[in-house]
Amino acid sequence: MKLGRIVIWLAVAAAGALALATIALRRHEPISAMWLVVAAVCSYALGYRFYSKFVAAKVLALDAMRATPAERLENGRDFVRTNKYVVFGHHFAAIAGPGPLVGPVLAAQFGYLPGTLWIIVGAVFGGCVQDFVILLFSVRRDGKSLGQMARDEIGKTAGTVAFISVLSILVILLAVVALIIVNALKDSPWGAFTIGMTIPIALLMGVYLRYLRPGRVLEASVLGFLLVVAAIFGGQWISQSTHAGAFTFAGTTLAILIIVYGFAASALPVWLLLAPRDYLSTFVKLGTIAILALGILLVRPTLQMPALTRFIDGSGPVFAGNLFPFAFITIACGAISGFHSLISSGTTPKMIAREPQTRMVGYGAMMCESFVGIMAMIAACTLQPGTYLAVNSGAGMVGGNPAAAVATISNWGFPVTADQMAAMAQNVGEKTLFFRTGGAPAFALGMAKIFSDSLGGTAVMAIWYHFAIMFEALFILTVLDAGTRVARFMLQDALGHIWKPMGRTSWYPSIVVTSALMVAAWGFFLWQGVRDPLGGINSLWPIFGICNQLLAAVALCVATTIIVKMGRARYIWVTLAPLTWLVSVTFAASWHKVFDPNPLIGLLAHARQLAAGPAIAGLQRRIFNDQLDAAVCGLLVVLVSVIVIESALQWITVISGRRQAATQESPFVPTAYAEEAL
Amino acid sequence: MTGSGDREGKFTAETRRRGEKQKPTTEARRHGEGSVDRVIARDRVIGKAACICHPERAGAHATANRRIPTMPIPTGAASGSSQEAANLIAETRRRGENQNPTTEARRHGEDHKEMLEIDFSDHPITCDDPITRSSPFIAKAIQTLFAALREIFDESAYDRFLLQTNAARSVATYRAFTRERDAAMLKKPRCC
Repeated sequence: MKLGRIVIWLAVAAAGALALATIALRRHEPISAMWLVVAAVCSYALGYRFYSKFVAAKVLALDAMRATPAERLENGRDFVRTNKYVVFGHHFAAIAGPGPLVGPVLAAQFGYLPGTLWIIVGAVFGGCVQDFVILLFSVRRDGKSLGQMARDEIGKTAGTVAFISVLSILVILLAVVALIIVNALKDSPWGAFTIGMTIPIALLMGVYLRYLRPGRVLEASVLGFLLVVAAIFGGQWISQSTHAGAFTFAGTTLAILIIVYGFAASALPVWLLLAPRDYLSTFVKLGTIAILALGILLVRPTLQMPALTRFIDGSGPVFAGNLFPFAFITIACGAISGFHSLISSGTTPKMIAREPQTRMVGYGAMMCESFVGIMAMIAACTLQPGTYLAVNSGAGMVGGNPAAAVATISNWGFPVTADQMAAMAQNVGEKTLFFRTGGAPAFALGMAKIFSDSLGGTAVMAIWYHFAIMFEALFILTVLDAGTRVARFMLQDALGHIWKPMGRTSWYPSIVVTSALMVAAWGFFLWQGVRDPLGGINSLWPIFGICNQLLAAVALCVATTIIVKMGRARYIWVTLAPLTWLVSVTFAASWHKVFDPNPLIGLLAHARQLAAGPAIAGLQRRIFNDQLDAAVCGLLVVLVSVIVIESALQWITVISGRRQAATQESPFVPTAYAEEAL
Repeated sequence: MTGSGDREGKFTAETRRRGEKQKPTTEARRHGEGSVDRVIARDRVIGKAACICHPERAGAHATANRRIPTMPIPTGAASGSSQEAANLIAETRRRGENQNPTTEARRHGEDHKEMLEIDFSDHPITCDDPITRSSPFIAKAIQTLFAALREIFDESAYDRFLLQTNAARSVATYRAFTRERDAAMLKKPRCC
């Protein structure tokens, strides 16, 4: 390495170390958000330049001369050699979801330090590595999915377990994201009108694309975006008019509306609603993330949240649970997401032109996703801690009314008054901001603050707030309808083995039955969350985090098995270390969620507490819900244990030489683009 | 015109298969064909190497793409949901139609109207654009950004579909394309 480069990289390392030290050691005074940005960017740069290069060269031995499936199986549809920057953009658009926005906002209750460190470290050594290796292994197996790789490399049981895990995670995920929307839109005529309008706008885009300007998706997306912005202004007018009552919904009403929407979206033709909404959501998502990054760089906000709060002891009002393991479970997608392994073994491997590009696409895109998590953390921590807690805490945690809530929160040492909250609500065009659990409203508030500080001031804060709510809700509704369809498809596929007609994806009775089953499954958990006096997120988000991280554990089991079979067991730690960490975290979190004696954390303890308490309406239902949540946690842990044990047996037998290692890689075919590789 | 014809020949699937060294000419490089990724981008429709101020090149490249399908699609490969697309391909083949204009036709400006439309919308940057002139890097970045957006928003996929089916942009072809794509979307999760 030339001296100049060495100096540059030493400077990057020094800047990163200084920023991390400032984040970690500065106490009792607010710090600039730029320290977080510098720490993250320098860590990502070092991780990409050195660690990912090491993994690429030593562990995976990326081979530029090996033809990828995009070359060998090129068909102009799924398998297409594509420019690496284009694949990068495509992959990032697919992996970016609401998770990295919501998780860090919730984890901010511990202070900015634990979440920020985990987002950076978890991504560099865990999430990015997982996405990278799974993408490469899928490329070497003709673009096979994670489930297929688990079946081929570990065993049939592992394949079945992976299938059940994915289906379970989808159900929990859809319930949680739906709950976030409900909590963001309840009693908010402005938000409800804006989000409601996105449905006819998406339908209009569908018709425009199909009949008026076929294939002009970017054009239609710009048009859709302008209409959505008009809907935001329309929402402001509605909220101040006599029609506001027609768009003011209670949580339960919104839950029913979303369940009906989920069913309709799953059964309607894809081109009419799902595809245009997907395009619109992606358009808004990419634009808003870019604007948020720009806003943070321009405003350089100060973090009001302390580095660590008193809630690291597990007494947090946003969600109950100790720093370990719950901070790691809560952040989920910002650091490592099992869901990404589905994307990395889905569309992306079929577009990779040369093996070395998997490093930039897999590792690099996850770094960007992680940076989105850092931005969400900054947005949440720019709020005064008292405001943050008043917005994010459930009524059951801080008191049933605003006066009790501000008293409780102020007593914790985070002063906030009812007048401050009322003024804040007025600034963003809402009646109240109390008890809006789920992370989305707090994120929108932080984002609105950053945006309004850089453009327009308090006068336009309401517009920015509702823009942020619209952006998140659009995101989430897209996850909801796409997820319901994917789950329906998986269910149809499975039922097809029992009765063939059910497996036909175009047979309408099968569509209706499987859609209804999937919507009923996530709708049940949504309903349970909406009726939960603790806010729902307290119990559902940790379960979602556990599901997601368990799926990541499955992906890392597959990756580790393949590395061992490749004869590179000496580098097993590259995937085994994050796997061990994930297994420790998820199993510990599951144990706490099921057996912890604190009723705010342990589901069974909560059920016992309810049973011993006074008879209230719906008591038996609530006890059953707790027991069901505990059973779901337990089931997932058992399933993943099966995969971990089966994988470990494989590693031991291969490493000890009792079994000959045989990977299911496609045979080596030299690339016809040799001159490009050289 | 000869120049663009030469460039077409340089990037044919046949020469690639032979693994021949394909060094871009200075002229080709000036129009952004030097790098490997740009070659892939251009060759796979997602980012055209031709510019708005050289429409004849745009047409030529589109034609090159149409004329050199990398792999014929077996009709049987189409699933039930993409039957319409498969029929479209089969019908075109049965009739032995080749909608690609010949070199001669291109020389006389008889290029396919639709191809020009595709190329112009894909590539808004011109050679005489001050940004392009002052900084090829910015021009390349904008070009790549557009290419990425077109890939994300399935516009490139639709263009590829048009090339494969030798069809023009229309309501019917878009319907056929969406049927094929819908089947894929059904399996494509959105990340959390």
